[in-house]
Amino acid sequence: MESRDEFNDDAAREALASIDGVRDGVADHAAAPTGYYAYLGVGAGLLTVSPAADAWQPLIALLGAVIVISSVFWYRRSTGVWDFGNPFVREAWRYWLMIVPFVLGVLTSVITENLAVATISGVAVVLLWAIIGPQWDRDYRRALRAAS
Amino acid sequence: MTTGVEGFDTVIHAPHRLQICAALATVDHVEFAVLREVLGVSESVLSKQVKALDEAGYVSVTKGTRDRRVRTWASLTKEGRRAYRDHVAALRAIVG
Repeated sequence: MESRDEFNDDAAREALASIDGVRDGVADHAAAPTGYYAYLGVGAGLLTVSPAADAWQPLIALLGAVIVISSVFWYRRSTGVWDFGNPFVREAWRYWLMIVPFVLGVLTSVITENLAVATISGVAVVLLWAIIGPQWDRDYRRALRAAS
Repeated sequence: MTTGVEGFDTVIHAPHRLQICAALATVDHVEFAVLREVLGVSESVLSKQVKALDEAGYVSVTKGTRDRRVRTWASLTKEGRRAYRDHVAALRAIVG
């Protein structure tokens, strides 16, 4: 096997370039399938509405949870990659633009127990995730490419 | 296993193994089919290289069945992630 002594600058440069190429390839594969964030948003929206849904609460919460969990399997099956990611980086600001309104929406439903308010919050979450999600996906893949 | 520059790892050094580590360092888990496509290698070549990394304790392999197909996933172990990071640092030190 080649040792470091036989390994020159050009070979090291070539090895580093090959890493960049691989990272780009993985980032391309990590693209969420079409409609993924709308689907995930419906799950989050149902979870947002559920605390104010009285007798329907368990069913709506269960449906929301099933959608969210199944979205993980859909993503993994579709992309062939899985990553927990790091939401505490600058590139992840759109992630928080999805998570914070969702948490606020759930809290609003819990506190008000008003179905109309909860429904408006839930619909807002669905729209927000469907719109922001693909943009966050692009940010995420850009960050994967740029990671060292 | 290292030689010369600190962090230079002769297990990771082989081109395909370096690329496998690069893919697994990019995200947490990658399916074999994606690794094959990204690296442009055959199943047998990939299996051989992943096995070497597995034996070194750098890669963890898990299998699952979906749609009657066995899907194999690979991920870097904690030790593998550290060794890869050190090896890339060594490459950068060589380049200067």
